[in-house]
Amino acid sequence: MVEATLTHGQSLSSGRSDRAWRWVTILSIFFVLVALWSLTVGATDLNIIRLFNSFFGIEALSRRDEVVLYQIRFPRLIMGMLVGASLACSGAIMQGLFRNPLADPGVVGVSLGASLGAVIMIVLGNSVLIGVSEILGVYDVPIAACIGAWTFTLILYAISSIRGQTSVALLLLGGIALGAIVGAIVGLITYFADDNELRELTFWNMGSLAGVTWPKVISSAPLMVIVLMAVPFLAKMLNGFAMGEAVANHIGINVQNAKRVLIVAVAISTGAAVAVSGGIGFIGLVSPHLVRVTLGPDHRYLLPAAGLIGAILLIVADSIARVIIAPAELPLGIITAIIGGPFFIWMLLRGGGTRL
Amino acid sequence: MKKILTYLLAILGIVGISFAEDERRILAIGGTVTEIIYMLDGQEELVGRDTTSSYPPEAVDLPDVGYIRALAPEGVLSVEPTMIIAEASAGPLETIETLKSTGINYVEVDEGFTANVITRKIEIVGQAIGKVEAAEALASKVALQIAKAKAKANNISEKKRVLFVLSNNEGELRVGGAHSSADAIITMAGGINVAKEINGYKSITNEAIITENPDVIIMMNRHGTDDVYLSVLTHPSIKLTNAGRNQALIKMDGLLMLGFGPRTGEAITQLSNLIYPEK
Repeated sequence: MVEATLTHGQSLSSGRSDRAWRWVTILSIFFVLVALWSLTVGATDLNIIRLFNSFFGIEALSRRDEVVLYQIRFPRLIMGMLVGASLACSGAIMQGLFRNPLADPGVVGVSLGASLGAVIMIVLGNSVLIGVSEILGVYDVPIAACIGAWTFTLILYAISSIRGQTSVALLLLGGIALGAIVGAIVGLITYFADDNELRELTFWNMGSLAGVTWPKVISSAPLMVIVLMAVPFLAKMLNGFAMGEAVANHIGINVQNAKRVLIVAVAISTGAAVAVSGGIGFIGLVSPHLVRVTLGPDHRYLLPAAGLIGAILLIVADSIARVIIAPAELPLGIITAIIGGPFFIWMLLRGGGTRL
Repeated sequence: MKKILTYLLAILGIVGISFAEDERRILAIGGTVTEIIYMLDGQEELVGRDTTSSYPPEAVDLPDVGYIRALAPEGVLSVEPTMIIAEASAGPLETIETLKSTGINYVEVDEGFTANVITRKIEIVGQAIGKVEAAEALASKVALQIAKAKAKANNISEKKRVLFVLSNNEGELRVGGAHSSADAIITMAGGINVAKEINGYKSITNEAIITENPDVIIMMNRHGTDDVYLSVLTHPSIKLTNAGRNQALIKMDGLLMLGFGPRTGEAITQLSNLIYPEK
């Protein structure tokens, strides 16, 4: 009898894991297809046949098409992939750490810090910080946003850690308090912005991958790739947390250490993602939920699957952004919100809110 | 005979190809650049424009590659330009760098609010599209127009106090202060900008509006309803000023008034006549 139950239990869990891996495989294939498709989408006419011909050296592309493909669409694809996957994984990590379905990468203050950094550089880069802005060139805003994101997370972490213990509740509340202060500073600086700077700020907040170049990819990709590669390791920690901090402690997880690692991982990858892409909402919130309603809450599948979905969503959104009003372009953040919002509502209604 | 014909055809073919290669496809970025190209009769070669290019009306039919400060490289390349003539504020920088790397002839024109900058703009565009003489003629005509218009507009004993209102955001007025394009055109048209204390386009306090007491309000023409003008005229502080009491509000096309392109002379005269209708 006991034996029977055990076997039954094992077969159940192995059936679930088979199903999960099948889904991850399907997602991977779909991801590759979407990535290839996105290379053929854009204002310039460069279809799939000519793309393949150029890959296999059958037909040479014109100088313009070469630039479009290798200097514009390729770096954009790579960046979209990494940003989407990073935001989605970070969202899943935050939801797991806080055991709160509404958490997203912004919870640790990354987005606030990044926007503060960006605002400072955009507005003061022409006056007070002109020296810094001249040295950094096109990287001024991304670097300022990244520094802002990390600094802010650090401050928030310090606030919420008392006697070597980080309180998750303090982290959330401290984030709200700090957010109010940062909001005031952003408002103050914005007040002094001129018309052009205001425009630039608005565009930054709406997010875009239009300005992505290879040097930008090369400088930000390592930060995102490192965290994505650590996903299997992070997943184990998160599974421990799923049962609460006390249980996690009992099954041998160093809770304080795990919190630190998880927060740092999110800060590093989202900081880099937000710095290059600006404000892109919903990917971090929606992707993990999409996985949870089909695959369940096991982080070993949740993280990679959410990462894949995030990458797919972002690539699709970016492809739409660049053709919907071609030859002009819509900011990416608008598309992700337009797709993400209703989709999220549908998902909530479908599951009756019970499976979150 | 057949051979000669073949040769002839071949030569014609080569000539044809080289003509095709020489075909210039110009993309204009910036409202005044587009205006100048039309005035120099170079519109045959135009293949695209940016969102700020709204004059002449037929320019609107050209493909729009986006807002001047938020250009996406692929959209720009999709109209296959061989030459881009852009105002200095075109961006972002990454896009401009990518565009330059494609070997497209990228011509940049200065921006500013003086007659000198305008004539230089015209000359640079003229050189770029190979209409140097026409450009020189246009430049001197424009310079003369502006000088005449300025002289006539400023030949006035009692100058009026003017406030340029960019927008009314829930009762908070954004106005044109010192160093703004509005300040420049108001001064040229013989008015006194009452918002000199402010730098650029910023919001102004209600008390300042009442103390400065403008005689005339200027706004940009907008599509749609007149609600926004009404909201400004009935604004609690504006109501207490001369402009509010006399319902003195001037509406003018934004690109004409603030673009500082070849029609600036016309803009000065028009604005001056609107400020001083009794003249």
